[in-house]
Formats: sequence, C-alpha cells, structure tokens
Amino acid sequence: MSDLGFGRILTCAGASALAAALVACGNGSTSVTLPLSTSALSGSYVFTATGTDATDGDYSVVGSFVADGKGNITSAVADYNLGSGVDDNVPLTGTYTISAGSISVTLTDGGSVKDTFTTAPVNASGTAGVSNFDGTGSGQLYTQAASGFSPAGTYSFSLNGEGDGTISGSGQFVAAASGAFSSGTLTLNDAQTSTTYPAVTGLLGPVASSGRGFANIEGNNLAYYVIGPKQIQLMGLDARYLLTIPAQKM
Amino acid sequence: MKLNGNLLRAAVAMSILGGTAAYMTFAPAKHMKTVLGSDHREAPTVDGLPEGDITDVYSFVDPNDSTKVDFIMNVNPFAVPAESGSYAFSPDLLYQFKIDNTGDAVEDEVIQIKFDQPGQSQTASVYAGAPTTTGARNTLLAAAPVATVRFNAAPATGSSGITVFAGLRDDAFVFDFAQFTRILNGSQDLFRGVPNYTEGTTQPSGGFRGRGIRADGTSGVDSFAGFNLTSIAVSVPKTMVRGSGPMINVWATVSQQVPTRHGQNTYTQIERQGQQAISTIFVPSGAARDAFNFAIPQNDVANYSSLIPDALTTTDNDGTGNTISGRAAVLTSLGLTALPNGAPLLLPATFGNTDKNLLREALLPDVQRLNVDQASATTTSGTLDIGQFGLQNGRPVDFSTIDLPLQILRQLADVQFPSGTGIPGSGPLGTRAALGCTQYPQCEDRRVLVVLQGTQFITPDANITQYLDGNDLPLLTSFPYLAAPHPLPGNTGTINFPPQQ
Repeated sequence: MSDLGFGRILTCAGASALAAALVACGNGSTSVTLPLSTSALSGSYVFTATGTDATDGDYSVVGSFVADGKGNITSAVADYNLGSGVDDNVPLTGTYTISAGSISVTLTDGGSVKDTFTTAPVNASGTAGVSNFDGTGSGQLYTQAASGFSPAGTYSFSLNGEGDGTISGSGQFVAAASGAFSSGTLTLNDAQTSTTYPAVTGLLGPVASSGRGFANIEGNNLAYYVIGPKQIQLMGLDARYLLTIPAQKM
Repeated sequence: MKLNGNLLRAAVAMSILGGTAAYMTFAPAKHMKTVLGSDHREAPTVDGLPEGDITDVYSFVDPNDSTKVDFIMNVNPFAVPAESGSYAFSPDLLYQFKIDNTGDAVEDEVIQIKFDQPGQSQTASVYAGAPTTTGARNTLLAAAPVATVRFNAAPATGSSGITVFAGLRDDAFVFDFAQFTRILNGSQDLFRGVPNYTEGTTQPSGGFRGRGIRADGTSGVDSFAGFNLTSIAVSVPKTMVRGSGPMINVWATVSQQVPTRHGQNTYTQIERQGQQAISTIFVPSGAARDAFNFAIPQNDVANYSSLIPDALTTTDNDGTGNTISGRAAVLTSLGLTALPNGAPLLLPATFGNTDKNLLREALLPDVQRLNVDQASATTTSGTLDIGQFGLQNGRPVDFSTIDLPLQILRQLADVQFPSGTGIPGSGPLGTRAALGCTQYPQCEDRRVLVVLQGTQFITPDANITQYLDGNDLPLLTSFPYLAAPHPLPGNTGTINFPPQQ
C-alpha cells in the first residue's frame, strides 16, 4: 500500500522515534510538517477498547496485531467481552490506511468479525489513543515487546469494569516461573460493596507468539496480553461482567 | 542392591496433581452490562458444564471391519442411573473429533456433531470434512450432515458410510480414584497395602497402608463403576481420515458458541482431550487445566514440555547409576515387580532408550496416535511402541487406561532422590528435569507413591499382564462397543442395589 501523502504536524519535544528519525531538531521548539506514511505503523502492538454497542450493550476488547509498515495487518488476535457473550482468542487479519495524520485500522476474521478504529503513531512512551472503535469506543494502543517477558515476578494492578455497578480495585500478586500465583492481595469495589481478598490465587498461563495468554485471578478467567517485559493487560472472559486489569511488574 | 525399606516410599515418582480449587468469583453478576445470551451455560470452565466435560476419548480400528476406524467421546460424567432420563447433550455446544493426518498436530479433517435440541428427544447431526478454520475457534461445516441419529437410538449409518451413535452408556473408565486420592492426601500409601514387607532392612512402622487383597485376587475399587455417561461414537471409513500414510493424530474438543454478531455457527473451544489422563496427571489443577483445555495440540510441546520429567536412558546421568536398568533394579529389589506387591515390569531392564525426551515425545502433543492399518494395541493384537504411539496405538475401550501409564512412569521418569542414599537418581540434579523426592522417606509430593506398584489392582492378579481395564460391565462386541448403561436401581442387571420388589 502506498503512502497516501498526508502530513501531520510534529513537535520535536513530543516526536516519536519515527519522527525523530525523519527530522533533525534544533532546540526542541521547532514545529515541522512531516508526511505520515504507512510505515508509521510497523511492528507489534497491543490495543484495548471499551464502548457501548447500540444493540449489544457495553463491551471491552483487548488484542494484539502485527503491522507490516505497508498497510497490512499480517496477524492479529483479540478477545471480546460483548453484551451477548464472550468471543475469545479470535484470529484476525486486517489492513490500515493513513489519512489526515491518523491511522485507520480494520481487523477481521474473514467473517462476521470486523472491527475498525483510528489511532496515531505511538508517542515516545510507546502509546497512542484508540478512538472510534466500532463507532464510539475508545482505548489505547501500545507498542508490544513480548519476547522479553516471563511470568515470574511481583505485579501491581488496578481493576476497572462493570458488575453490579462500577467496579474498581487494586492489588498485587506474585507469579512463579510457572505462572502460578504464590501470593497476592486484592481490594475490590463493586457498587456499594467493598471486598478484600488477602490471599489471591491465580495463574498467568503460557504466552503465544502473539503475546496473548490465558490468565486466572481468584477463579475468574481472563485473557492477558504482554505489552512489554514488565507490563501486561488483562481482560475478563466472564460474560457476566466487564473487567480490564492493567498490571505492571514491580 | 539392598535397600532400606523406607526407600520404598522414595523409590519412584510421578508428579503433579493437586486438590480441586473451588471456583469463586470476585465480582458478582453484573446488571449494568446488557446480557443477551440465551440458554447456554455461563460457567467459564467445564466444571460447571457437564455436557461439555469430556471424560474419555477412544480411537481404534474397528475390530469387526478393518476398513473403518472408530472414535468415541464421552461427556456427562457420573451420570446416575436413577436419573437416566435427565442426561443429554447440549445443543449449544459443538462436539468435534479432530484428525491430523500430516503430523503437524493441526486438524486436517474434522467430524463435527451438533444436537438440535436439549433433552433426550434430540437428534445428532454429523458433519465431516476438511475444517473451515483450524485451531481453537471453529465453524460448523457448511455441507449437509453425513449422518443423523436420535439420542439413545440404534446406531445409524449415513450415505457416506459413517455410522453414529449418541446416547447413554456405561462409563468404561476404570480407576481406583478413591484410593488414588487417599494416597495423595496421606491417609494411605499405596494402592495395595504391604503390611509384611520384608525386602528392606528397616520395616516402616505398620508397613505400607493400602487396600487388602480380596478372595478374587483384586484390591482396587473402580470408582467409576455403576455410573453412566453420554457417549458419541462414530465409525468412519479409513479413507475419510487417512493421509498419505497410515498414521493419524486424533483428539476431541467441545466448543461453545460465540456471540452471533461474531458469526453464525462459530464456536470457541472450552475442552479437549487426547491421551488419557495427561491433563490430570501432569497439569496442575485449577486454572492451569482451563488453560490447557482452551489450548491446541499444536502448541503443546512449547507450552507443556516443562511439566514432563526427563526419561531415563541407558546412560547414567548423575553418577549413581541412574539408568533404566538401575531403576528396574531398584524396583525389583524392593519387591515391587512381582505380585502381590506390584505388577511385573512393563519394559525390560535393557530397554534401549537413549532419548531423555522420550516421555515428552510420547505424551505431547496431547493427541492419540493411531495407525489405521494396524489393529489397536491390546496384549493379543497390538504392540507397545512408546513414542511412536504415545501410550498405545490409538486407545481401545478395553485397554489399560491407568496401569500402563503407571508402569511407564515408574520405569522411565527421572526422579531426584535424597543425596547420599546411593539410590540411582540421588546424585546432583544438574540440568536434569527430574521429579522431586528429596524429602526422605516421603517424597515432597504424595503422588510419588501412586506409580510405585505399577497397577491399581482392579483386575485380578492372575490377569495383571493382560493390560485390560476390567470394566464393571461387559463391553459390547460390536459398535458402539461401550457397555449399555446401568439400568434403573433394582432392575435386572443392577449392581449393588436390591432387586425391585
């Protein structure tokens, strides 16, 4: 896929590695206009999105994809917790285009699953916003570096979602090399109820080449995606509630 | 070699079973999110979905028609005969036999079974052919069914030559699971007690606890006797499943329907099984088994090899004579290779394995390996070729499900024994992937004692080397081969119930 020739304004102070490679900055205050090519999306990424579907209710999605820098999503996988049920570990492919400085991504399983969203080149911290996911959903895009990840470590996490009401919470767990949790704590708030779990059990299962793995916290099945050696994103796979759990290795 | 009697407790090991973790959620059912799901079960694992809980899978060349191979999958474990009318298959699930005939652990052919309604008025439709998609997410084949059959009806044969049965059957799985549990929890030591053990120099206080020998020469109790289940059996022409050669890999899966907005007739895998008891024996209980069930054989070697110990070889790997022959000598010295204390060795002490990965190769990927041109392995008609066939050629319904793995593991699984004892395996661990038994006289894991005798003594001692399971009901001699279901309590044929007055 060719470069569509649209440009965008970048400031050196906030320029991505890509931009830095394309322009030599002076004192960091100069604004330049750069063409944004399909190479703006190249490599492995993790994306998240939450939103509301008009007929299906609230949903959450997490996935990963590999962009070839030429407009193609060569491989992708995603997990969906939809209002009408869970669809996990869905293999996808796709395409993306560049227009007016934003990147439009389309993912599909070749059948009924078809997702679209817009994003931008990731910033210096390796993130970018996701918007217009299947309409009005929004989320985050992360560059992915899954190869250096191993489950072992102490993680801290926050927890957000929908149960009886709005779910919030935080905690930590210690995963062994096998992925099994040896200890952990969790404080969960759902609607008006707060519950503390002093000995969290769980698992970070084997990770596929996509950076996706199966996880479990306190009997709840989740998918997780490796963002980097010290960062993962988990999402609940129980249709009764929505859970998104970003976790950092301490 | 003269060994301390307590070493009996530490002589050979297998690993990794744990207690069943209770399922609990930390978030209650939500109300904010719109739920449009219909009647499908909500539990994320098969623990709460018995219609999707595969108990056993069988594959074998049909003994009555060598042009066909038979595949059987059982679900609905522990179906109680008194409630026989309540068991059926789920119309929300897709049941599949997957066949790889190119050796890459990816399905090349699938046999899909779908039920039209809940309850025993249901009809099974069988679809067969190359899969639309491979892996954990599958779509029902678009072509018309190749066979159909009503629940509990006589087997029906479709125009393609596929014969199918779906209905209640006796559970043909034979295992003294109760005693197995007692060994694990420490209330018993072995399947059969050895109260007067004399081989060692030190007699453990009270000997080794286990079941006593009955007059019929058995000790074990089949924990699955008296229970039914629901079974899908298909008999298919070999030509439908074989590739360029006779070897095929077979496994079964159960899948749940995904939201219809994501595809009609599309299903995601929640359960699978290949060889017997792989998940039960080697994968830790709880979430790890969910992960295993959701995974696909193609990734098994990468993901699960670390759970399998090294195999002993003909080469001493720790300076203590830790070889196949060394292990055989230990077992023999302990008196565990002769009745009444244990089964004879399955493999000769001279078994010429030189590959420390032999157990991994035999067990992973978790598929049954079947030579469709060779009658399935029994003591009279088959062969045992570990590695080539995994545990056996396919898995016939009458073949030893548990004793064979016990005997393979007790002879081949590398074990780290306490240093300084002189037992083969008591040398430095180094790079060995060995099962741990460093806490003398008991291994860290009570499960190490499970394999010690190489049998659960359910079949009479006189038949110990026939390698037949000894099911509680006689198996049929024709398709679908599984025994008829146990009758209502008190009816003719009832076991352990008073006759109907």
